[in-house]
This record gives sequence, C-alpha cells and structure tokens, in this order.
Amino acid sequence: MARAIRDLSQIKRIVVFNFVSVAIVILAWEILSRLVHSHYFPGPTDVARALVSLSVSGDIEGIKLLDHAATSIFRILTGFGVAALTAVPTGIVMGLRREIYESSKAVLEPLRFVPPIAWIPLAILLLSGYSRYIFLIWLGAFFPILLNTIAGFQRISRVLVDVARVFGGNRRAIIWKIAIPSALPEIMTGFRVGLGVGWMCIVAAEMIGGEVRGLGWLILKNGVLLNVSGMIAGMIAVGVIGLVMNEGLLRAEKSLFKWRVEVRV
Amino acid sequence: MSAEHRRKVKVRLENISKYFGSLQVLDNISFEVAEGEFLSLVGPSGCGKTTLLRIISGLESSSSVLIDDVPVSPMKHNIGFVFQEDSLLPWRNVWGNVAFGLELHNKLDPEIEKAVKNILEVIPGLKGFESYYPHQLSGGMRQRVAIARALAIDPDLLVMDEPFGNVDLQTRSIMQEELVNLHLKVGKTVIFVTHNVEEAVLLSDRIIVLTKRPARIKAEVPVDLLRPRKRFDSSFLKLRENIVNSMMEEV
Amino acid sequence: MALKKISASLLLVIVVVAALGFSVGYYVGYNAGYKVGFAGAPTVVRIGHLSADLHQVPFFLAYQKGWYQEEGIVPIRKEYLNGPSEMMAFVGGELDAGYVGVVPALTAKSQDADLVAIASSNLEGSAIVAKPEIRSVKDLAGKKVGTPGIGSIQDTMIRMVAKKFNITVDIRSHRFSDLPILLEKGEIDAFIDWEPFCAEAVVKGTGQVIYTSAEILAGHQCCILYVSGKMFREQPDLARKILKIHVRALREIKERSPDEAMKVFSEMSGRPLDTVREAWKRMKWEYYVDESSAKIFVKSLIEDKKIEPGKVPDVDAFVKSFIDRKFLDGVLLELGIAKS
Repeated sequence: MARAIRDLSQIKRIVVFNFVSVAIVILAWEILSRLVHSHYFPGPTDVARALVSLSVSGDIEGIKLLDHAATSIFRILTGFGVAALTAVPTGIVMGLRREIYESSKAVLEPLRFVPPIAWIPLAILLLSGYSRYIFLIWLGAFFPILLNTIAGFQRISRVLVDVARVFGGNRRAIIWKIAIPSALPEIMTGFRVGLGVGWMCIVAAEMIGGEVRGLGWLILKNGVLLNVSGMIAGMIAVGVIGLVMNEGLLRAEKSLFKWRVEVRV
Repeated sequence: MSAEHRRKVKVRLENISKYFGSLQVLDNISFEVAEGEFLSLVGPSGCGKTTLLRIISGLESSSSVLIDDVPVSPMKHNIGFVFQEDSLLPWRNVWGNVAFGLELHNKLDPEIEKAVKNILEVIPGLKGFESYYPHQLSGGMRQRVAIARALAIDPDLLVMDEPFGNVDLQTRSIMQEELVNLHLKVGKTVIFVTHNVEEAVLLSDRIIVLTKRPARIKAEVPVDLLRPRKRFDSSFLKLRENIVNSMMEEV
Repeated sequence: MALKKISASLLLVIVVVAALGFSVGYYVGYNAGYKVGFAGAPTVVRIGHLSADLHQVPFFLAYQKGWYQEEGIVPIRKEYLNGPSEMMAFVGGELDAGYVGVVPALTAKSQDADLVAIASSNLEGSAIVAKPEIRSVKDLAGKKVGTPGIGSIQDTMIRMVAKKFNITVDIRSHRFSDLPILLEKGEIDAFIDWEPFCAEAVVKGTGQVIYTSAEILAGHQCCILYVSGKMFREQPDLARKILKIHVRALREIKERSPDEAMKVFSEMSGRPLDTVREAWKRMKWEYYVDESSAKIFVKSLIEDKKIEPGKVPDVDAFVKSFIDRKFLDGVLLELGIAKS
C-alpha cells in the first residue's frame, strides 16, 4: 500500500516535470522568436494558430490535419505489420541456428547500413503508390525487429533449457515453452524501435512528392508555400504521434513483462 | 534402518567414466541406489559431482545408468531435478512453474490441476502463493517451488544439486528439516549432491565420498542414525568428523 | 499460459493489421489505374502536375471547377517538385496522364518511357531573375545560378544560354519554391524558374528579370499534356476526354476569363494574386505542341549527354513519335475553335 502511494507520487512527479520542461521550452521559444523577429521563425502562438487552422479548416486543399495523420498512420501500421511478419520468423530461425545468421551477414549487414532514404529513388522507379510507402517503411522497421529477435533467442538461459530437457521436453517444447517466452520481451523492444524508425521513414517517403496526403507531404507543402508555422505544426504532429506510439508500446511492454525485474539504482 | 533399504534396486550406475576432451572428470564410478533411499554424494568442489548428476538424470548421454533396469532417458523416466541456480521460469507464476513438468509429460489439464493442488499441500509454505511470480519470492521460496515442480511429476528419481547452496543459513536449516519430513512422507528415491558434510549426514541414508578430479568413489558410508537427527549428538559429530577427514585427505 | 495467449494475440493483431491495411489500401484506389467500369461507374485517372506551376493552369482550373467529374472521370491529383521527379513516378507506374515540361518528358521517352504528348499547355514562360547588381546575361559568368532540378527545362535552358554567350555558370539545383528566397538571402546570384516564382522575386523587389526564356528560344514549347501510351492505345476515348477538358480550360484562359483562371490558380497554389498577375504577362498559351523547339531541345540534350545518342538515332522521327496532333485537330474542330 505504502509502495503504491510512493509510486503514485513518483508518477505525479514525472508528469509535473514533463509539463514544466515543455513550458520552459515554449517560453524560451517565444523569447527567441521575438528576438529574431523573422517571418521564417514563428513563435509558439503562430504555430498554435496554425495547428488549430490545420485541424479545423485543413491545408490549402482543405485536407485536414487529421486526414493527413490518419493516412500516415495507416501506412506505418501496414508497413510495420509486414516488417514484423517477415522479421520475426527470420529472426527465430537465425536465432536458433547460428550458422544461418553468420552466413547471411554478408548480405544483411550492407543492406542494414543503407538508410531507407537512399532507397527512395529506386523505390519511385520500381514501385508506385501504396506499395512504395510499404516498402520504405519495411526497410526501416525490418532490421531492428530482426536483430532484436535474434538477440532474444541467443540470450536464452541454459539452465531453463536444461529444465525443459530434464523434464522430458523435446525440441518443439523447448522452442515454444522456453525460447519464445524468453525472447518475447526482446522482440517487443524490436517492435518498438522498428515502429519508431518506420515512422521516420514514412515521413521522409511522403516528402518526395506524389500522393498529396500524409504528414510528410503536409510539412513539405507548407515549406513550399513558405508557411513555416504550418511546417512546424506538421512536425509537432509527427513528433507527438511518434511519442504516443512509443509510449503505448512501452506501457504494453511493462505490463506484459512484469516478470522482468528492473534494477533500480 | 539399512535393512529396510534392502529393497529393489532403483538406480544402477555401471563404470561411469567421463572425459571433456582429454580431461578426465569421472573415473569408473559404479554404485546402486535402492528404492526410497536418500543417497548423498559429497566431495571437494570441482570434482565433477554436477557432471555425474547430469549423467544420472539423462542430460548427458550415457548407457550405463539404469533406472528400473532401463537406460535412463528423460522421455522415458520421470526425473525430478532441482537445480542449484535459479531455475524457475520467470514468466510463469508459482502454479505455472509447478505445473511445468507435468505439461512436458503431456498430462491432461484436470490431471495437472489435481497434481499441482496436491503438491502445494505437501510442500510447506507454498499455499496462498500460487499467483506470485518468481521475482516476488525469496530464494528459499523459489527453491521450494523448484522442489514442488520436481515432485509434482511423481518422479522415479529425485535429483538435487546443492539445492540449498544459495540460500541463507537460517532458511537452509529450516529447509533441510522440511526435506527430511518430506522424504519421510513421500518416500522418493533421492540422489543429493552437496559439499556440506553436516547437511549430508543430516539428510541421508547413505553417503558416497568422491575423490577430487578425476572423481572416483573414495568411500561409502551408511548413516544409521535414528531420525530426527540432532546435529550436536556425539554419534552425529563423530560420523561427520570421519567423513570430513576422508574428504580432507583429498585436498 | 497467459503468456501463450498474449503472444498469440499479438501475432494475430499484427497479421490482421498487416493484411487489412494491405488489401484495403491496395483496393481503395491508391494504386487504381484507369478502368472502364460498368456503365455509369466512374473512371479513375491519376494525373500528375508540378507544384504551383503557372504553366499548368489549365489543370488547376479544370480540377477546381470539377470538369473531370462532369465527364465521369475521378481525377486523383499527384503533385511533384519538378519535371524529372514526375517522370520518375510515371515510369514507376504511378500516373496515367499529366502536365510536365517538354524537356523531362522527352528525356524520359528516350529512356523508353511510354507516353504521348497530346497537347501543349504553354510556350515560353520561364525567366532568368538576377540580383539587382547583375544587369545582363554576360554578367552571370562564374556566378551561382539556381534551377529547379537537373533535367528540368529550366536547367536545360540555362545551359543553352551559357553556351550561346560562351560563359561558364555555376549551376545549382534547389527546390523550385526556395529559389526566390535563396536569391533574397544572397546564396545564389540568379535563378531560372517557372512562373510565378520569377514574378515573386520581381514583386518583392529582390531581383529583376534579365532574360526571358522567349529570348533564349523564341516560341519554345514549355509544358505539355501527356497521357500514358497504354491509355493512348487502349482507351483513346478516355484520352480524348482528358484532352477536351484541357482545351476547354485553355480556351477560358486564353480568351474568355483569364481573371477567373488567375483567381483559381492563386487559391489553389497559395500565391498572392498580384504575383500571379505579374507572372501572367510572360505567359503564352498554345494548343499545339511546337515541334521545332522540341527538336532543338533534343539535340541540346544529346549534346549535354542527358540523352544517349544511341537511343535517338533520328531526332525528327523521335519527336514525331512523341507528339500526336490528330486528337487535338478533332477536339478543336468539335469545340469550334479555329486552329491558332
């Protein structure tokens, strides 16, 4: 009980601190914008106004902020789903069979280091429309999920495998009852990181032109129109959504994996 | 007391030798364990006790270990192993962990439920903690769960590898007493490894002393003391001294 | 046990989201090409254009006024930052028709892009805008000149100018909308861009027009209306409809209500009306694609190695295969417009 109260006041403290830091940033921003006094450096009030205007009456084509956000979110969810579906089984195979992982490194590692943005011109030429966005998101999300899955499987405790074996478990039992539950937290972390990277990719992918919907496009369009407040409003939307997704997954992780003892220093 | 154990032979080891590469760890070890007997293996650290246990329980292959005259295999036999280290599945609660062995033996749910409920009655201190997770339990509690898990499958053989090694002294004595009572109640064949001679004398019907690496059988000492045994009884202390001296020779 | 359920449900969620998103997204029309559906069902056409490009007002006008829908067409508008980007997307299969500069279109065609120019949108319409201190083209020697991108018609023209005046110029690619700002900030000394961005610098007073594209090559073709070769061959009626809409719009712009057109463009592009008016002065609207300037462009592109000479052994034949006049003849006749 006392612990619950202590935890609650700690949560309150964290929330308050966060609010305070946001307030400080906004204040500093306001002061800075007044000092610089340029059309290209709007203050928080201008951006707030742009946010409201974009939400209510939409951008220059009347497409509302919510539509843009929904489009981007839709894309990221699909791309992420495809990445998870491909990366997890591959990661399981590679995690359980080290040789497969080691021998595919020559192909995987170079691919991993090419940023998704560099794939954009190729993606434009070979793919079109929706599939192009999915591909670019997949590129960003695949590797974090894959690597985390592999790591999760490599880190399985020997003792637990022995436990399964001595109690009569066959290989299947070891995989399903020991390996996968053991690796699940790591896989979830991979999901969280992959989703974040994928989110950044989709925004970049939307900035290259084509579809006139999406947060990346909104930012670009406002840039073209020299509407800096609108641009920043779009960026804030991207950041906030990213934050929400990350926090959401973090919470899910925490509640699913209560059994992971956190070391408090 | 020994006369009672002239029952059928449950476990037989025949000329077990083990090499890791060119390093010999075990040298021609043979002995038998009678059904219901509590046998302890003592020896200096690093002598290979754990390897021997792994061979006995079928984790390392060998055709020279027989349980009920059948070469040992975790698939064929019910082997209850209590590890020294933390061996509970952290993502399962107490109930889930105790049920684990039964699951692996493909028992049906109603059977599992019955067995788990039963064993939680038998092992002291676990009732009421079914939904607790390992990280919420003390070291002693965790080992109790490990013992419960091993007993739940109604094992042919209970193997225990220094189970109280990581537990504090006070809990250790409590758990030793619990184990004595448990053995009296349940009557399983037990092979127990420890380097703590007092513990071995307290618990066992017979003690086998192993040499240092490569391990050979140095001595077989029956423990005829009446239970409940008192640590500071003269006969207890004498027996203990003998065994300790035997072990000291090895160092 | 609970863990099994959790991982199973996690997996299920991923599968469902992925599958749902994929199929819904695919069929809802993101990738929809044109199709002739059942009687009465609308035809979807993906039309590309350039951002805030005054040369492409016919498209803006028709789109805004809903003329596509009147003909039973659902237009999906796709916007690009310059001609070459639009052509890349076309090659990737993203467009059925569109408005683009004749230079990127010719370049793409030389690389086997399957498109046909069925009308012109405008001629000339670009200009070199320079800092106040720079008075003439000769003064551009060694200076930094911005263009909307390598492979755009503006980029090609500045190179032609450099050759003509025998000077070397430091050519930089930027986003079309950044060019006036970069001039203002002094990062570039001049730029060549499509209208209304030249007008923007003039109206702001940060630069002046020192050379128009008409002076570079009089009467040169600028933006064209194209359709995919597929549509041209398999759905000529649809191509004709798109052309008719374009001609209607051009007529409004040329003769009937240019003010209306200016207003629509200003709204859709977000450019102030007086900037648009200033830019309008340099605009020349024309129905037919000008073949001779197209040929000159091709030759220049071959010289600059933007087009492989092996790909275009016969420049005349190449340009002829690129342009179609027959549809336009028919539509102009139908709408009672004399050939201009």
